[in-house]
Amino acid sequence: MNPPAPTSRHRLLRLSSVVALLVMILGAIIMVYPYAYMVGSSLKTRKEFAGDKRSLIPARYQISEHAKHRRGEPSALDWEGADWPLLKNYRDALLYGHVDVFLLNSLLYAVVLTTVQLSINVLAAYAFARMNFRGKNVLFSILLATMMLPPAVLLIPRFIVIRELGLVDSFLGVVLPGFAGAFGVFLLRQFFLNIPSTLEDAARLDGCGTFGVLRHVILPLSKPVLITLGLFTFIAAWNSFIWPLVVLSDQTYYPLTVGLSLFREESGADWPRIFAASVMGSLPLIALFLVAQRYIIGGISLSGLKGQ
Amino acid sequence: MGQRTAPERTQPVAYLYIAPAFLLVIVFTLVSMGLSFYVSLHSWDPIRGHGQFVGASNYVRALVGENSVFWLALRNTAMYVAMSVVGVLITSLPLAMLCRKARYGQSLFRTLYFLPSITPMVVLSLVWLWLFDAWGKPLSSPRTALLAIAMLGVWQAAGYNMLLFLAGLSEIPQAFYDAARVDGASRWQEFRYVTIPLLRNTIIFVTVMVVIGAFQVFTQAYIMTRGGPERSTEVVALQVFKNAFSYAGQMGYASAMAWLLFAVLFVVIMIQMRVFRSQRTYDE
Amino acid sequence: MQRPNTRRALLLTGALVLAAWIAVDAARGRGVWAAVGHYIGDLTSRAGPTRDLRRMARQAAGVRSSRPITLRIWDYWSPSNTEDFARYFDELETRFEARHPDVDVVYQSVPFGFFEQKLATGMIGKRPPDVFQCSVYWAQAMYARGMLLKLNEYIDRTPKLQDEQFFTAALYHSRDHGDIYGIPQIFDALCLMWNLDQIKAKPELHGLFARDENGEIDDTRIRFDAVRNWEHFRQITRTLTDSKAGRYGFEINAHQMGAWGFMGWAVANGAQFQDRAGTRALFNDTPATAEAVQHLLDLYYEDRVSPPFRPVSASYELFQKGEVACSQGGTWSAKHIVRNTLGWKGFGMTAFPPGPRGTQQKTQSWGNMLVIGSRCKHPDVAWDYLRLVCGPEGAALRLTLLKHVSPRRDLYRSDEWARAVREEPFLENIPKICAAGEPLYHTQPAAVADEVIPIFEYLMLNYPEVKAGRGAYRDAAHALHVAAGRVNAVYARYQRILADWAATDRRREAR
Repeated sequence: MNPPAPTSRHRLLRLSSVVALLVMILGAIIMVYPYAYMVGSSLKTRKEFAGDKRSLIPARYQISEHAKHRRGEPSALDWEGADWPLLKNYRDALLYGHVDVFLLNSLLYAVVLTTVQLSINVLAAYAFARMNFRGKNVLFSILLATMMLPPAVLLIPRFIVIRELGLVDSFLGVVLPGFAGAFGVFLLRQFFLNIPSTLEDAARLDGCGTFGVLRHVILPLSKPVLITLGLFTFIAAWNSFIWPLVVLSDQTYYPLTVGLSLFREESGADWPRIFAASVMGSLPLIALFLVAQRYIIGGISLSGLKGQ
Repeated sequence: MGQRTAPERTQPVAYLYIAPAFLLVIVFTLVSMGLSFYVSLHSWDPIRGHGQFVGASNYVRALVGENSVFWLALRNTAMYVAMSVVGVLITSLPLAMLCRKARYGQSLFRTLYFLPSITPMVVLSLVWLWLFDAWGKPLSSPRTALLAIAMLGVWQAAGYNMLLFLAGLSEIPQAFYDAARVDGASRWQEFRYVTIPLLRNTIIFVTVMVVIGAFQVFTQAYIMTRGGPERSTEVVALQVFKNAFSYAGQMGYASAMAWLLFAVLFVVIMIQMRVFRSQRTYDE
Repeated sequence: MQRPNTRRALLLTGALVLAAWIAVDAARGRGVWAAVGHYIGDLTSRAGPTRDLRRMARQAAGVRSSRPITLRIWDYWSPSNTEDFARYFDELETRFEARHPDVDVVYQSVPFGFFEQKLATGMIGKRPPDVFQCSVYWAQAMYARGMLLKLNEYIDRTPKLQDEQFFTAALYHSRDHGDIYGIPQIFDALCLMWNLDQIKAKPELHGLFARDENGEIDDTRIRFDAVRNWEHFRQITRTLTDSKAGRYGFEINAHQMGAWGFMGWAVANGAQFQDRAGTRALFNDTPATAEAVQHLLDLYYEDRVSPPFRPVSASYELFQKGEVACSQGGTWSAKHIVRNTLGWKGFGMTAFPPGPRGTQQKTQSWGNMLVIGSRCKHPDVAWDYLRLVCGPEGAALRLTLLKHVSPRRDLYRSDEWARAVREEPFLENIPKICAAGEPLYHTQPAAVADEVIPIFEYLMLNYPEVKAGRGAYRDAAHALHVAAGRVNAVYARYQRILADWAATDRRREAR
């Protein structure tokens, strides 16, 4: 334990950390408020939403409205829809808005993209890290260079390529360009390089072939980075918007992001229902995040440090 | 490295291992870039699938054409990038420092601040469309609309960038701060002479990432404003999208704009790299 | 060790119990798990990727489909918001599938703002639409791009879809140089909507009402020619404005309006927007359009009959709330207003009153059409669908279920029409409004709108600056002059592309 610091500085320190805490709490409220707004609006009826865009609680649950109603004055409880069940917008979004189709599609795209990307990235990273072959460095630098290309620039040509392959408006057309990702190869190669070769040598002595080494030595040791990379790929795939927007026209293939933009475009859009769909679209990732926080946050810190 | 004891032998099977990833990347990035350049020299319609060769006229139209929207879009995009960089630096860095200072609830804060970063931007755009409408209506004025969507972008990435800064801050050894305190440095001087220089790498990394992302902004403009009001949020990615997929026969023009955007982005990043690298060697 | 074994035993028992429960439900066909199973089966048949997998499995197992022909219908009318549309499309599907047992009708609703892009993608994708509703905005360019089937031969052998049976104004946009590529199914026009309750409250305005057989005022109907001219309009809206009470005479919008905002008035002043082929903008050829824009500016800044400009987040919101007495709208909006106000029918519609250079009530009208996609694999089946929808049967169905006005002349001689007008008096003027319409502008409208919208927005929002000489334009005429230049550039580019395509096609045929 350090000797007690001078009291004035100590008090200042404690005060400043209290202030810091207050500012952080304020910031956290700013972060979370839109979510509360989204959830609150998703419970409102159309009339309640049109009537008051600022409130978080639907009018038919507000105490002031109940008081007005008891006094016999006109209140929100007289509006159409005041007798709606709490989650009616969610039910309608699922029944009439086909939000369940969108959610299933998002899940399918994300799962397929993640598994395929991980698999081919692991193979490539293993080869670059552990094997020797002609042109290895040149090929790797080419791979690295492609990471510089921004996706907005690649949008049109990818569309043309997919069109030539006859895959417009299909499941494969959505996921195929997503399989191409040099970042995963780069990250995994870094990790594989750090695995001591003594383990590999021992395995080879036991008779393991090249693939066996991958399967029995490298992969078990790489679980953390694989999980992290998988999570990031999954999240990016779930959130992807521009590419499915561009390549799909059949709504039964839409992921949730494109489905939401579809609702927004409709004339006479039912905003509370749109919010209900938005909540349903955000929940899976939030749940995933809460479960796998460690890996996600760790991964960011790691990528931040390594990227420099 | 250098721990290998087995002899280095060439394994041709390696080509098989790298083939899937490599081929996909080549097709969907390099080949695509070539195709995009080819298309930009034609007047192309995706329905017809082929077009008339027009040479550089798409580029000419974008750069010096009479009513070219490209410069307007580029200016809007550049302003958006500037607002994003400034916004991120004045929010995420202080937030990271405050988070460390607060000492309690750090992991809860990290979670809460990170929520927007994993929510799809489409969802956030829809919610903020109404939040903006309820408070101040910045989206209806051409002077404030771009700022509003820039702030949305900063808000979304605040948590993510805060984590990056937290990681960078935790790398700074406490010894430096102690030494500064012994020398009688004030808090501001600590910040200026210890934190910033040692955080340089993180700052550069964050800036470069923000710049690359901000140059390609699309979702907010598409969902919230569609380029209005009065074209104040017409960004390059939106122009590329409209021309390529909505207008007849303008895919070549859209490709040309995409290539010009790439050129600008490339130059900006090269400048950034050069500026930061030279500063570092100077310090050392 | 004790603990792992007991844990594993517990898990195993739990799994067995669960499996037994599922099996029992599956056998009985009832219960929680049966419901879950049904739901999953339903979901996988609705979601595209899983539907494909199921179809592949069925084909591999050699199961034949009961309805081998799939007819894909796209429309921008949306059933998900209005039960009426859902009923309409269900009824169409039922009738058609009953008459064609080997056809499976698959319907998709695509919002208007998305339609062009989704159509372009869909046409080169795996499941192009066979029949779709085509806005007059897109038809000309789509035909030039090769997305629509030429229908002349089909029309020749279909007596119920001949030109004479339709209003001429509705047929304008569905043909080009003799090639017919669409059949109109609805007749739409820009119009002025009037709140009759507020007019009733002002006795000096009762002259606007129609009169019934006895010559008495019928305050459920407004006369088609009620507003004599623009000056009369200003008087009326001034009378209806009481800004202190928050009530305004006429709602003027500046945002995202473009030509939509002023062409109704300009046409009533004798102007046109473009020539038929889309080579030239005509709206700046005479001062008529500038006068129309000035009329709107005067209404807003001098007479102050309009509520302050607001970005249009919900159409007709103020009109439905009763905060404005008159609003520019469309003849199709009637049913939306009735639905959103939960049954209020106290409104009426008129065309735009004639301006100083005009002679009669006019507006812009158009007939959105049904078309057959060029990649349709069963054009005869598609044509049968068109006959159902665009023929008298479809027109009657749309009137009763959707309150839609048809471009067919025979609808207005039918009992359904008489009954509909009795129930909803606001319908009465609509055919007159539509028939009095000049053709809506239709060439490259998205690109044209992109040019005109910012100019009109700027002019409306910054008129005080413009008037003081500090604005980007000298006056409305100058702003329109600039707009016409830009629109002509869009047209010129479009004509060049058409010429390129024609040249390429000729070269290919020559080979």
